[in-house]
Amino acid sequence: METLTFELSTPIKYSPGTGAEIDGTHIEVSPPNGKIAHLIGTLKAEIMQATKTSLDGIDLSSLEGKQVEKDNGDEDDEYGEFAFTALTMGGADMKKVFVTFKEIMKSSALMGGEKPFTEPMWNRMDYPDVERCLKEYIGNFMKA
Amino acid sequence: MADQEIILTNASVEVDDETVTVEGNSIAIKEGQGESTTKAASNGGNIVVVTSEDITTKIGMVKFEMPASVNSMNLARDFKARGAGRVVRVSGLDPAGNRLGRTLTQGVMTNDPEKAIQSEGKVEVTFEGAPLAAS
Repeated sequence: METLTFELSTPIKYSPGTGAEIDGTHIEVSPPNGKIAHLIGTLKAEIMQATKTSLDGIDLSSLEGKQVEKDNGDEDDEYGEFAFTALTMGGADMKKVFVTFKEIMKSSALMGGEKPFTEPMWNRMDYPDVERCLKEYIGNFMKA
Repeated sequence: MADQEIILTNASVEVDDETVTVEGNSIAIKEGQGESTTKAASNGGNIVVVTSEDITTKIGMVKFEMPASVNSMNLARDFKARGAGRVVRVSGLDPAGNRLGRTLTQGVMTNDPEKAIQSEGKVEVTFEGAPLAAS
């Protein structure tokens, strides 16, 4: 699995250590490893449980790896969209989902590709970026 | 206009994008807008007021205390070791929803704090740098 580069629609300021603040426009997220296996497991369990509740009978494996092209030309991962829909419709504990995802980001993401991602950076992210980042993460790293 | 104002008593402090645990009632900031002096002078027998701005006082400051846990003591040591180039943010919301946000750039930890190893011990940290920016 390759590193996921997530482009922020709303840049967030961070300090790269030069004494000034700069606008961070992207986040690089490393693929999951053993260090965060417990967090991946938690997130995956929420997805599977919610999927079972909301969409019982649908074969998830049929969606793996499928890409769709939207009208605006952006590629999006159908599995990420599907999983997020399942989470929200399937009665998942969304607080648990986002707190878990925040911890994943803090353990495996670099702001601007250079500075470890921290809680204040998470707090400054726009919600649409948070949701889109979660979908892309699920789509890229959690299909298996 | 509101007929009541509530003082902000709790705020968040971040140093280089990491939140810091701070003691209550210990955060203080100095905007760094500089001090000015005035004196009277004579112009043809008329008194005129002469003002001057002391640019050497245009220094922003953020000061706070941390509880003297081992973690905080090590953090203060780390702040000092990092030297210049720190960014310190202070932000808070009062009960009415009014937000205070200030950012110190080009900061350096100027003090060398005494770290009391005792009950209720505190570690005082002072950062100085460019005048604070509203954020």
